[in-house]
Amino acid sequence: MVPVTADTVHVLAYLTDALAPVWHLPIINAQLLKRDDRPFFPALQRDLDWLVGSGVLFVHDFDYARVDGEGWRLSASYSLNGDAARRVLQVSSELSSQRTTATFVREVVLAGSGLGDDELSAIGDIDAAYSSETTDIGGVLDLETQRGETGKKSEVNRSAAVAVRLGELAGASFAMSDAELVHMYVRHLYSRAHVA
Amino acid sequence: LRDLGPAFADERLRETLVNYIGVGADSGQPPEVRFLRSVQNVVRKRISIEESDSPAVFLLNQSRQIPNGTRRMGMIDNGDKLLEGRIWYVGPSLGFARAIDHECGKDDIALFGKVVDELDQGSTPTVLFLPHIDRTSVRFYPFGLLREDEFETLSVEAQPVSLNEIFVTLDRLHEKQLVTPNAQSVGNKMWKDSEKFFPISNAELVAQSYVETALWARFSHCRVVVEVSQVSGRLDVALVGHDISAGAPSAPCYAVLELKVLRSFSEGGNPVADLFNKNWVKKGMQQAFSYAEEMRADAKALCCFDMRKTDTGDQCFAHVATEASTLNVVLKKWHLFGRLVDYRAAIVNDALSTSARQDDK
Repeated sequence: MVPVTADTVHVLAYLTDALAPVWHLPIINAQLLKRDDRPFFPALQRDLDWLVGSGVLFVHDFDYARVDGEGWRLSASYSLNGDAARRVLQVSSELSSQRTTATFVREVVLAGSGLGDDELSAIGDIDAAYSSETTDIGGVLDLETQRGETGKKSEVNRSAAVAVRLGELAGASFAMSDAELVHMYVRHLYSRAHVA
Repeated sequence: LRDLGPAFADERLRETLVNYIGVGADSGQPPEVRFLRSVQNVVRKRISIEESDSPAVFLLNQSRQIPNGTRRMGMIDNGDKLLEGRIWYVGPSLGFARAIDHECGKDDIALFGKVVDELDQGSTPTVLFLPHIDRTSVRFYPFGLLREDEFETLSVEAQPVSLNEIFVTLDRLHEKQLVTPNAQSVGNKMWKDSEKFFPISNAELVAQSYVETALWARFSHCRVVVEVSQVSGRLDVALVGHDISAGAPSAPCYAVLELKVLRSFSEGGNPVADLFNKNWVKKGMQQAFSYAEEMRADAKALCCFDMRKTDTGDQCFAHVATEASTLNVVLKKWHLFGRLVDYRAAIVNDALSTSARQDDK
């Protein structure tokens, strides 16, 4: 249901990248600046702006907001322009190379849609990869080559590692699917936000 | 993961698993099936929490609009939100929801009126939870409350599943979606040329997709696993439970189903010999037994979809019946009519036979 805030879009994009290794998919933006609250992708924001200009997205609640240490930033919510977006989605669904990616993104969005404003604004503190103390605020978080506290490089970033661990704990008899791992990880974040 | 701290320790992750096991498992299924399962799973978590006996209405909202007057509720599938007394707009999974209080109490007529007339949601797939009648079941209205007589009552209790319950589901699948070429979905036909009795070459795979969806929709506390590679081969379908009673997830296997299609002709129109079908049945029976043994399944069955020109009843199992009985492999078949004229003749014959039996009594 829409409109969706820009912050939500950026958090969902972050979770999509962080969990992409679970689906054996490439990470789109592996390196990002670690901010003190939540992820923000300048390239994604440019894409959103371009989609607005192209008529694929509608803008709602256009405003500006103060960001600590960064001055002022424009903020907005977005919704799809049904007719224009339908054509894009139709073509995308017909491309076999895009099908798995589209399914994966849908599952991340379905899972992430359960996160409300409270959980979204806490994502920097509750997500396994983002909250890692090995990267300071202002440093570059690398979702492909994330290192643990021991300095050892892991095969996947910490968020994906937690998702995989959930599957291991469920056991071989469950053989949890990639989609389940995504849902389970996001629900763990939700639980974490509420325990904290 | 040790350096991630206690929030990601195994004990915490197990708590999440136990609370949400099964969420997302049905990702390949249609939105209506996922919606129905999600609602059943959250109602199950609320069976013993009797905070209210006012009905809850769940609407599968696939529009992009925010319904007026609703408020956002996050992650309602964790079971800690009051469901009763509310109308819920939800998606295929219950991560996201918006709700309003319906204020109709236990007045079902007023509630139907509110959903159909006031909210204009009479054609939306709907699940009703009626705690003042039964806290252990829900009613599913696939076409919405406007078609108020077309609903199915489904238990939400997580009981072990018997082969008989599975067959009831498959009987219904056969009757509604497989029995004639017209019943089958436009994009998912098992026939290449039904008038000539030519099945498509991968008819077993299509049958499997129908069976899979029917089982996902019917057994919300289970997962349907397909095409699992084992030492003994690749099983077709297994129904596996989500048992969390011991505080950790376990997966009892209720049944293994081996699916076979019997043919009179190949897709290209070449005749298929009776001996081939006999061997096919025997192979299926052996597969059902071996795969079920490896899965430690409670039950096993060979399920045949008979697409041959003539329905010969259970004759197709005669050569394996004794062995199957010894091995506890249940043999079951459903006939798929290629021509509507044959189907109509069969139902007329059935009706006449039933009538004659009643006269005899």
